[in-house]
Amino acid sequence: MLFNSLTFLIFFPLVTIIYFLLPHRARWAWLLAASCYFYMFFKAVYILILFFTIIIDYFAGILLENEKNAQRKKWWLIASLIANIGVLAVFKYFNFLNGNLSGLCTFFGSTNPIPYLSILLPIGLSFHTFQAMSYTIEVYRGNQKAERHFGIYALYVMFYPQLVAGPIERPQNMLHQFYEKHVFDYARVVEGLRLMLWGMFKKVVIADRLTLFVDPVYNHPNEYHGFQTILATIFFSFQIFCDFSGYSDIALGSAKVMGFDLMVNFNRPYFSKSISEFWKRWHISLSTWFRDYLYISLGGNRVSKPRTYFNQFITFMISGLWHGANWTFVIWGSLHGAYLVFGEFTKKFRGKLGARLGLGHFPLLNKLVQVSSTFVLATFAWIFFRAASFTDAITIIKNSLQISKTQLGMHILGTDAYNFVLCFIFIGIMEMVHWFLRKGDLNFVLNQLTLFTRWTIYILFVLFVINFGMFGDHQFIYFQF
Amino acid sequence: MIKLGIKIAILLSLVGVINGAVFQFFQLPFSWGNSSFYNKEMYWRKSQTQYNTIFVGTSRTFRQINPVLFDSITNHETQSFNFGVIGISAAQVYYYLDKIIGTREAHLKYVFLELADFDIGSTENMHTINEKYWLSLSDWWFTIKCIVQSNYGFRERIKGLFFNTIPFIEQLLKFDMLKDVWQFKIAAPNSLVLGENSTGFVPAEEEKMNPEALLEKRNAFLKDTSINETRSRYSTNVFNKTVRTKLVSAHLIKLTSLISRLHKMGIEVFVLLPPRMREVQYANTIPIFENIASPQKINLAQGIQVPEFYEMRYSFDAGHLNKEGAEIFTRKLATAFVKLKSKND
Repeated sequence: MLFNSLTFLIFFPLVTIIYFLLPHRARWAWLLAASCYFYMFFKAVYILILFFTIIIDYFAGILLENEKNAQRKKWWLIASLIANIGVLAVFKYFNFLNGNLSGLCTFFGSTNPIPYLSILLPIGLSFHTFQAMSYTIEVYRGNQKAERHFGIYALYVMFYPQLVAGPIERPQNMLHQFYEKHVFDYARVVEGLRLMLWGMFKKVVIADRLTLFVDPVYNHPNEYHGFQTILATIFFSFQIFCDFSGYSDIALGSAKVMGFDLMVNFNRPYFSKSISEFWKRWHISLSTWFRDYLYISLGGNRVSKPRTYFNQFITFMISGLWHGANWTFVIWGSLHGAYLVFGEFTKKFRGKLGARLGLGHFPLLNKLVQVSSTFVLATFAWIFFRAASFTDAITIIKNSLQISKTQLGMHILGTDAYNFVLCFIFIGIMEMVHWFLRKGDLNFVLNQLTLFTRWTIYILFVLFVINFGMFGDHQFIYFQF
Repeated sequence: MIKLGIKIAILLSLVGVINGAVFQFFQLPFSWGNSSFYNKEMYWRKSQTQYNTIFVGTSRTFRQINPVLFDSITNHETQSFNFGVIGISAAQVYYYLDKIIGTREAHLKYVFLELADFDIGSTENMHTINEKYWLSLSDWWFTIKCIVQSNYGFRERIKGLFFNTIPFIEQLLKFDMLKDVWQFKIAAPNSLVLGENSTGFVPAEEEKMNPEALLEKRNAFLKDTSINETRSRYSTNVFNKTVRTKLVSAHLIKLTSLISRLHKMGIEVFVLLPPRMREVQYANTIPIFENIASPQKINLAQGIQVPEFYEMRYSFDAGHLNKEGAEIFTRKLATAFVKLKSKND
């Protein structure tokens, strides 16, 4: 079920009202049933895969907790991780690996005998698999007690607001919340609804409108040049941010309405002054997952400098692969890894250069340069993320360099001026809001305002969504991961 | 929870009022959300003095009544224009008729009104501008009453309530309608819907606006010949009373009041029952047709009386006649009109 659908508009209030009307002991079952329905709305049969990982990890958790022998405990963890990664490998990476194998076979003059699997990727597979894995790892590390209530554990994996595109939660943050009795708290519900409205604005008003300009260029990269491709790429930077952070805000908001706190997933990432800061603000739940469970396991920064750089690079490369079974994602992750390593490597030099240029006397200019260069680097990397293939990405880069005056115009991408102008207006409005949000989160800022101003803002944003939302079957980009 | 509900209701009401005011500012004509009807209306406004007769209805009117042929058979007693458009149901037909007679300047003598059924609606169409832009509270309520009283099954009726209420709510809030206003404002006049001789009649074969969709329907129809036989059987079953039918009284009341209003204006109304409807559609419309007090009714639906309308060679798709079929249909309609006129005179 999509958050930006009429079905969700009916589903959400219905689930929430019944949730509050039910006695506490029955609520988990209601939420679990609602979450199953939510997930089955996409493709019902794939819930079996979810149940498979839930059963494996539920028992793995108990076994891990009961096991006193450290060696055997480790083997239980490995077995559980293999089961989870195995599901990912089959459904997400099998054809990718097989394709590469076929390439290798062709190179050596033979044919690959392994057939391709004709299966659809279950929606949000990487998200709930990673969430399930974080549970077993935390139980293994002794940071979390094994959950004995099967229903609650299943709900931890399946809780509908974050089931298909995160945030990838940790058991320490979520499990106890399912035991707490949540009463209908007016202020909290309002805060949740505000987040949902903000998320909806970003998704349907901005992200889905930007699609109109991004898709033609990236679907037919040979046909567009210069400003057209540059603008489409910049638009994609905003599209993916609005799409994914919009989803996260709706997820956080809908959970908040019911009394649950999910982790914040985005914090104005395009205001970052460096790539390392960018990753502290972008898809926070995933970057901290990789930090906690991969980067630190590899030794983190408590090893030699070259090894730290290697750890950073490999973490980002795998993070790229997590997004999709395509070399473009690997390159995207590797690019970010390279940015980070390069940034660390040149930190001193850049500091000295900045001092020589006297940038310290112009803090605003300094910040502007840093923010802009981070944005340019992130945007460049998005080319690989969005392009269908490596060849397409190279075409986009090459064509971006072919700038001519004729490409400039009111609607340089060939679509209608109405939507083109609206894109700029609404990105402007969003960045204005982001500027206000430097002081605190959305609810903090809104709570400082007078009732009249708050209501004016509510009405304005509802009007934006109603009048300028792009409604239709617009999936969230991150659902495919 | 109640406090929150009240506040959300206030918020949405304010949004509705503001959007309503914004839409007032655009000063939109009554047919703005249906480009086919709008283009016909624009043409008619300019040249309505030429006409004394109009045909109002759905695609069955649009595709099957040729005004030029009709006028020649009536010996030019009529100078007619075809107002039929695709994708509308009874409530929208009445909405258009009501607006046309409200804004007419010419002396309208005859109105041929197709007795159409109510659409249950569909997920695909629910959010389209054509489904919602014209809905007022009374139009919506009328539709709801008709669906509740209809011969559709329980599930279908529930669906119908849903598919007709969502567009109404969207219309109240003007949800996702601004882009359609923009499209309307920048759209160039389109004369394709007027057809040859600007009569408003376009047979299915000569459709130029979206011929692919029609062709798809036609191919599906040709593939399965049983569809045609089923349609023929439907028309007989309901007339033979082998199918249980109940009267949709809300529909009858509305239709009767519209007819008497037109009579008071000196306009003669001829109610037309077209061929090739589905069984449930006949179950809904035939009792109304039989109960209309007016003697000016033309029944061209019954398979036994007009078998040619259910022959493959005169059919275009499941619900419509082809060009040849339309010619026969127009002839029969005109003949029936002449007969009724001579009887009245």
